[in-house]
Amino acid sequence: MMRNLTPTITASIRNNYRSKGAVIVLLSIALMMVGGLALVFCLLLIAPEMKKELPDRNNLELYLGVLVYATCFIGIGINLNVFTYMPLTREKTRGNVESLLVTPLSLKEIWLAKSLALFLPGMVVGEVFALITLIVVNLICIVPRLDFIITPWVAISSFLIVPVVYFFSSLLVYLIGLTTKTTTANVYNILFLNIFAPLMISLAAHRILDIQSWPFTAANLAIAIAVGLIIFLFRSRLNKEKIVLSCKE
Amino acid sequence: MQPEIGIENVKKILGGREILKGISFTVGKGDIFGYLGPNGAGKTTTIRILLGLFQASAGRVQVLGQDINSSETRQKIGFILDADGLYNNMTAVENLEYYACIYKVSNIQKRIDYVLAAVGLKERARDRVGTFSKGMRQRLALARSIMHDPDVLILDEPTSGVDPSGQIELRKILLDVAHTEKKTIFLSSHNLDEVQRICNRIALIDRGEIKRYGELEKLKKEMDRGEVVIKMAAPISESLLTELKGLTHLGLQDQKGTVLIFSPSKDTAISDIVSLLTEKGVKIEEVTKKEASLEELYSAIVREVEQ
Ligand SMILES: Nc1ncnc2c1ncn2[C@@H]1O[C@H](COP(=O)(O)OP(=O)(O)OP(=O)(O)O)[C@@H](O)[C@H]1O
Ligand SMILES: [Mg+2]
Repeated sequence: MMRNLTPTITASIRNNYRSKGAVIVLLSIALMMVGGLALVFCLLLIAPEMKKELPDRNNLELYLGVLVYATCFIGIGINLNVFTYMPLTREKTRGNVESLLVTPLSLKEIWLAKSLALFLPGMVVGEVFALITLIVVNLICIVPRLDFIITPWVAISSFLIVPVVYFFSSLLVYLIGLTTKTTTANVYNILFLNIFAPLMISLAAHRILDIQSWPFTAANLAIAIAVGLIIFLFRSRLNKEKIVLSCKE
Repeated sequence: MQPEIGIENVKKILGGREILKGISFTVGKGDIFGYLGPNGAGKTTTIRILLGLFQASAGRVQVLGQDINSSETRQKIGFILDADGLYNNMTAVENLEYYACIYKVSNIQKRIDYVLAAVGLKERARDRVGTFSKGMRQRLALARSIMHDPDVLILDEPTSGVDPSGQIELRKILLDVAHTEKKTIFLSSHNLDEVQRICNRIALIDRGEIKRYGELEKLKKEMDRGEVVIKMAAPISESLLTELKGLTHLGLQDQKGTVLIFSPSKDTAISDIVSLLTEKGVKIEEVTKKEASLEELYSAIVREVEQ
């Protein structure tokens, strides 16, 4: 199976990120958002807490937890937002997709490979950014007075479950994008990021769900399962005829 | 013998319209089959059904005696679609490598060298396809289609958009491939001349129906209305004209200036007409038999569609 997928994954990654310009745009948007977020958190929350005579470790863990989680969520999400519409539209109108459908690859393999090609670079970007944030903020703000802060549930939610959420999201994006208009897939991307990022972040920030506990992780898992369920319900829409007909538009 | 491609009473309804109205044909091993029809006739739709991209609304489709929906069958088919599906940002070689990996071609580099040489693109092997002309793209698409040594080639208007000299070259390559690699080729075209040059069997499709189908040579003979054109020294009189028109086996159609046009019945020889005319004192300068006219039929169809 993997041997079937690899050529398509690599070719698709090359096509999605073909222009240096686009990659620079992605990295700068991500850097600005994520960097800005880190700066705001450090200046407004973490630094004041550290200035206190007895910094509350619980508070610090919350601030840093939300920051790392948000970085991961937004980092991966931006990639989906930036690199779905153009590459897929190009591949559909130029007949690349239609040609692939005639090769011995199965439709599921093509779908999976394309989704992975969209998801994997975003995951790398998101996780690397989150990891850098975690280390840098720790080193600059916290370590001078306290121990390095990392809590396991935050790590699991951010580095494990958020990617799972986005893997399913990528599958859904390609399910929509291949069988209907590419714009529709992009609308999904925008809505998803703009609804779930603020929702999950405020749930944690307002301590409605404790980000350092398993219920928060479970809530993330629930999103993944919900997306998975939608895919399951609509999986029969994925057929060659629908794809070919939607390529014209 | 099992036909390589068999389509039986296939219908296709798209958007509430019947695009294919029950078409049937078979393509035998080693055939170069021309699927001829004007714009909008249903050629691409038929090809999509053959390649498993569309599901037929009714009827039976078999390629290489199997269901096209199995990936083993698709492994044995080479194709060029309406849009070539090449990646502009990759070089010719990279495009071929990608498909070679998908088809699990062994000894990839050797095979790529071979197919690139076959289509005359060796010099441009390392150039990005985005810089290629239409003719070069079609040649590369052809190279890609024979990459994995398929048994059957299904090509949708492989020469469309290519200039005349490029078309000649492409056809030559196609014939070479057909002969040296013994492939069965199904190709669509709206160019009668092209089909007459390279195909041994054809089907003529118009608005979703097959109008003519069979051996090219036989069809030509069938279509041959055997028009005889006789040029005279001077026009004949009205009375003689009416008299000749009365002889239905001659099938006299008209007098145009000093020219008479006949479509005689099958058992009437040209010499019969000539001797009859000489008897009547007509001075004959020239007798010509007009050639078969698949062309006329085709252009009649095309004209109708355009109106
Ligand atoms: N998705 C669709 N919905 C409705 N009608 C369609 C659709 N796709 C094609 N058609 C119609 O089906 C007919 C046949 O189209 P097709 O593309 O098969 O023709 P073609 O013979 O390949 O023509 P061309 O020479 O222009 O490529 C046309 O009248 C076209 O308008
Ligand atoms: Mg067509």
